[in-house]
Amino acid sequence: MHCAGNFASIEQHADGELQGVELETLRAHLAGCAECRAALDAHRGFARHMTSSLTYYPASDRLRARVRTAVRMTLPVAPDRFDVPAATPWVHRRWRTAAIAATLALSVLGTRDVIGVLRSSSASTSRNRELVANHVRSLMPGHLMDVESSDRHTVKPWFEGRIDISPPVFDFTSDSIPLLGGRLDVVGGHSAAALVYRRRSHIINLFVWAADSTDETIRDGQQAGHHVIMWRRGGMRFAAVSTLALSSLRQFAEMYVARDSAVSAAADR
Amino acid sequence: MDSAEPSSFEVVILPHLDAAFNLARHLTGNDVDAEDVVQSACLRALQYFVGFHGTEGRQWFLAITRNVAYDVMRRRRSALMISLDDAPKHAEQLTIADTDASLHETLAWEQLDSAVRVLSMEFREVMILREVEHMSYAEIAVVTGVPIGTVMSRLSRARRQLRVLLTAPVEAG
Repeated sequence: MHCAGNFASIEQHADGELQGVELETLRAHLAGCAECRAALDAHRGFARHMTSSLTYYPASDRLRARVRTAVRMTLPVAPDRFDVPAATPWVHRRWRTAAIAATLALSVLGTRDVIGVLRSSSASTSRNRELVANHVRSLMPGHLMDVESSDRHTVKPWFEGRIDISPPVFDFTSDSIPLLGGRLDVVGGHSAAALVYRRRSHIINLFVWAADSTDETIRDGQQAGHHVIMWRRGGMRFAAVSTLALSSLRQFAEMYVARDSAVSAAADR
Repeated sequence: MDSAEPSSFEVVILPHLDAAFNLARHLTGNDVDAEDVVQSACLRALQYFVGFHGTEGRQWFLAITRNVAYDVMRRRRSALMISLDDAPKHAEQLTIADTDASLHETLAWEQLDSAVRVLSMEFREVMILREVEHMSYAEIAVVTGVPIGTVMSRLSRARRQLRVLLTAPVEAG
């Protein structure tokens, strides 16, 4: 047989992929063909050298730590899986709902404003999860800002033509919450403006996207160690996301709403 | 109860961080991009983890890593990427019969990494998954999203190209 060492399945055999009839056929052939035996050896030698000589790049400790942190921060809430009996998640979800309701009852008593009840529907949970995921992703290198400026007169016009809303942009540098810039993001399939602020070492992402015209007061939620504060105003929905303490984030939200109301009141006059 | 999620994610996915980084590093050609790729892949994996019901965490995670790497490289349009057309013309015609049976002993192994870098991404990934991760054709097919037959032919062609590149080093730029 003049195969000249090119018996078709030699390479598959060297990769350990041959079995059954094909394997038997090749073995029978190899027994009588020195060229194919040499070719098989060559394949195996080549593979061995590839394995031993190709540089292996392990993940650095820094990357490992970054990933662990990101994973902990983005902890998804529902639905529970992996060896959890089917009945348990529901029980836990009800517990969580009860806990949230209790927390809210306390916070309603404790604040001046009327606070909307946080809906514990799966829709708002997945919305919170999405917002936090957007926030975490924005913290990765090169993802935070599309337009970098502390000047609201630069940031606001930047969104024009890029998005169908014109989000109010304020700078709170005098209150130690400087505006860093903005970027385009996506929330619930809609394009959204993300305004980036910083308070001390915490980044705040304020997502703004189009909503119907009903106004809604501030309500807050928690997701994977992040706080999410949402409100609706002037046909836009706002969500502030940060690892800041809830009280500080709420302060930011209230400042923003106050400034926004002052501006629209002035415009009406 | 929420803690069940990240811990199972950590158990199923994070053990494959080295494999993911190695693949990303070979595909992107540098540490910075590779780290970004792996971190993005982790977040993407985490996002879809709820929908992952398989047991093959490594394949699943490497498939995501590979897709993110392709996204990044598509954006970069890096000069490192050399299309198949630029690869040595005679590589395709070369067969084992043309080579010396003891060829591997004379190859310039120190050039292996740079030779692999010259391969197209499609060829590079099958080489890494096969020779480093020792994945079967079927597993490689899952990770790369192509049929097993394509995996076989890519592997075969990648090896032939490598043999040519290693015996007759080209100006890799």
